[in-house]
Amino acid sequence: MNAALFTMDGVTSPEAPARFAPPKAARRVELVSDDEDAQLMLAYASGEMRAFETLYSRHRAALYRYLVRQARDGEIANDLFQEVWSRVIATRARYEPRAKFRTFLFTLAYNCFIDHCRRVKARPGGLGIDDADAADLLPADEDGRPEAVLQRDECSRRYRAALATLPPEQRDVYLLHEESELSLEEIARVTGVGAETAKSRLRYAVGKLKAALAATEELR
Amino acid sequence: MSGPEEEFDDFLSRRKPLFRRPVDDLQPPEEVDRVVLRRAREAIQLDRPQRAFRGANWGAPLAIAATLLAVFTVVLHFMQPKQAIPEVTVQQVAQPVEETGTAAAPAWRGDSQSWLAQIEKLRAEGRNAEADAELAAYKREHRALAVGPDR
Repeated sequence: MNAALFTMDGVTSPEAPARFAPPKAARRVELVSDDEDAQLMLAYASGEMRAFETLYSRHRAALYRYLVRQARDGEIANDLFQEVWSRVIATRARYEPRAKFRTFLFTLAYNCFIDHCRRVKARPGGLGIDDADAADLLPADEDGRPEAVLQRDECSRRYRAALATLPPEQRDVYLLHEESELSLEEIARVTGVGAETAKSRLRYAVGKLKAALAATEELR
Repeated sequence: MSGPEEEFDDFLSRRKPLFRRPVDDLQPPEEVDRVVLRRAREAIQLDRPQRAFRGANWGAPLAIAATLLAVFTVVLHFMQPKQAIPEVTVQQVAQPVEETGTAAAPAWRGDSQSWLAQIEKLRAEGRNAEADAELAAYKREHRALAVGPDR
């Protein structure tokens, strides 16, 4: 990992160096030097709201997609989404960028989802979001053609059906890879397994998805 | 020709998709965005030191003590019984003056003859002012006499 010993006084945000005031107290931390998000998080921790807004706008969509795919329920995904960001906000004072912010964020998301499953004593099964819910969540089609909307909905439905057939461990790894764009090592860290285990789970997940989607294409 | 291993490596490095997946652009609702941003803003506002006015630590006790002292003083002032001012009569004032005058009177004022003899003596000695004062006193003492002895 590209880590460097880092002193807070030396922080300069490449995006807006003058906009973020330097944090009050100098902290020596191991920082992933090229992670702008970590610097934004530190700037937010020192009281800069604009830093949080930037951070939020960068990750909100990916995090939301991940939670919707995992929970398969719009309302639950909304709740989990707010809970994840609440944890980000709550940990701002003791945040230390020892890994990429994205890894930190999706670790929180993964843990929030696992906590949710423990609370309800089950992981969601089946397709989850029905077509009407999915249509509400998706943005309106630009050209508004009925066939385009139908095609998109059908594709989405088959994809969600294939996802639902995956074992939870494989689905976790696959969704983290697809939605968070983390590396295998980072996914392994988030899910608490070795990199080889994560790779193996991802390989199985991708193989099953490919087979399931190919089968439904043939049936059409 | 690419085998399954190479396909998977391409997938891992995001060079080539293995299957068609929906291109959906799921976004969190605007209300959720507002809630998250409001929480973030409120959290850092709580971190900032409150700039409410705070007086010195000794201010409150001092103010209480001063107030109690003022109240106590006013209450004592009104609770103290008013002493009646005695009326001073002319007689009460005149009496000590006369008592003082008689007390200081020389012996020769005891009888008229001695007093007049003293007056004559003072004139003979040329102490006319004193003789006049003694004569005036003699006249005040003996108001029945219309005329002084020198007339």
